[in-house]
Amino acid sequence: MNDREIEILLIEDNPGDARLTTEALKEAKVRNKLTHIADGIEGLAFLRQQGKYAGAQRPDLILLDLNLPRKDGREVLAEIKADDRLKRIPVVILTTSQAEEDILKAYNLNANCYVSKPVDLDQFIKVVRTIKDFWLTIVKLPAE
Amino acid sequence: MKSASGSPHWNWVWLGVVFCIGVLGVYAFEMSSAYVGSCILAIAVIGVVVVLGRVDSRNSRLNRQLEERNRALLQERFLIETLMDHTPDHIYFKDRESCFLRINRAMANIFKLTDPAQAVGKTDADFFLPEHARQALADEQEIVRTGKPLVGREEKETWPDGSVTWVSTTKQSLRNEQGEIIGTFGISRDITARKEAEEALAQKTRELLRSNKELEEFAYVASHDLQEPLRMIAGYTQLLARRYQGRLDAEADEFIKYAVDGATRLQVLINDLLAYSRVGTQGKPFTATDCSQVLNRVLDNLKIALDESGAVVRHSQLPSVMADATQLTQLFQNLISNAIKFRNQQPPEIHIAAERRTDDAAPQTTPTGEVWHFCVRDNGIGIDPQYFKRIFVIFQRLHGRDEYPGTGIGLAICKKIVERHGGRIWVESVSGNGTSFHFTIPSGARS
Repeated sequence: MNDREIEILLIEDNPGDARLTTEALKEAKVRNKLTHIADGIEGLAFLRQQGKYAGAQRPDLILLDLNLPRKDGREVLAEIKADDRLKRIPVVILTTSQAEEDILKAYNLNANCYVSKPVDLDQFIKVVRTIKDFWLTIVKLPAE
Repeated sequence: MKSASGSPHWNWVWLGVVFCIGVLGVYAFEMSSAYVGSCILAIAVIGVVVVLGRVDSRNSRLNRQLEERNRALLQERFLIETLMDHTPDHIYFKDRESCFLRINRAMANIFKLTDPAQAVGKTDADFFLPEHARQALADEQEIVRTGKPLVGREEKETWPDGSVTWVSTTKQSLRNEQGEIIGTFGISRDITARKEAEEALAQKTRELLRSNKELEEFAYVASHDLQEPLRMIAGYTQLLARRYQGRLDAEADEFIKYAVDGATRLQVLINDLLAYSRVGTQGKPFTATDCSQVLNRVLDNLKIALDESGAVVRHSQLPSVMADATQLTQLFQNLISNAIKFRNQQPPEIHIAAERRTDDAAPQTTPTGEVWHFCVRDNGIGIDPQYFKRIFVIFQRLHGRDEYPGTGIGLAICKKIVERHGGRIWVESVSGNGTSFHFTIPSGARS
């Protein structure tokens, strides 16, 4: 059993959603250290350990919203997957958009998983737990 | 009729003969006897009278012919003048330099002339704005050069007072007896009313497209912007419920339950509304679609519900139609899941049939009236005829939420899908005794 604290980066502009994700992780009893960043450019700076994020830990999992200010989730995803140092980090698209074209585009950009945020908290907790189990326990990722 | 002896030439011959007889008479009078001379002179006088009589009858015949010809000419002229004066179309004749030779009354009226003759020698430049006059001159010079007519061209005419009229105009070369082009002539018909109607229609179409686009944007707002705050409400009331269940009082728990319920239902409604508006906005082009394959997919999708209810589905041979396969799947799926949902005590028996026929009540979008008529029949609870129309209206439900769940979107979506395909949908049922949903898909594009 992997009991290490998981580093999660949440890129999400809505503070209400971010808090709900934090709470859902808590309810799902996922031991984690969650960093919340509210826009795409900052998120990429964090991942690349640039500027004030020079000492940032590289996350084990990225939860990415599609609708972000400045640089939207689709662009952030494309840049992560084009960056050799970042492309192996699993990215879960977590969004309200159920539009088929958004889902397709995300998979075309190599999103590892696409999850519509359910309106029901219990479901959401289940989703968060499943994401954690699947990406951090079941899937064996290559070591850095 | 013209006889050889009746010609003017012969009159001179006769006159010559009479003259000779006259001379002979005078000669006889002097040389022979007065009696013989008188006789011969008398014959000469009679000859003169006869010849003069012939000349006179010939002249009156010529006069009659001339009169007849004049009458015919006057008749021709009368017909042409009547046409020129009374036709509402504009008629003109121009010389090679595009100066008016003649215009008719209707054209004089639009030129604000009291007499058509006032236009003679003038050009379009004297009446129209320069831009229009230049174009007309260029067209006419081309006709003079090539002899090729300009048929039924629609032209916009801008007048000096700023008003605009439209005409459908035909211009041709005007030729003399030798076939040489000596100018042009043309007829224009005022089509301003038709053009304005077309413009009004185009305007309506543009407005419709714009309002459709707004609806599409609304769909996105409904899907994203409304769901976001809704998820906040639902998420945090549920979080309250999880953390504080039993730590507040029973009333608080009940309030939270209703808040969560409402939020959940609202999300279902929003999703349904989104699905409904997407029928029109996200539809795919029609392709040849095999209805048996569609049905198999539907039965696959509904496998759990079919198994649980013990439903039996039968179908006759199903055709291939031109359709949006995704929407056709949704259509069958909605109808069959309704048949399962609104079942009686006994297990559902569902029968799907299709036949090709002429639909007299087909909407105008069906060019031939040839349709595939589909029928999805069940043995369920049936529908009271008073609700036959209402069931196709969005969010209309006939049963309590506890009895049968759902928002009342399914049949509204079915109707929208069928109508997008140019068909129609209706229902036949006896309350308590099964329901048949009928719909048509045009078979015009046979595949």
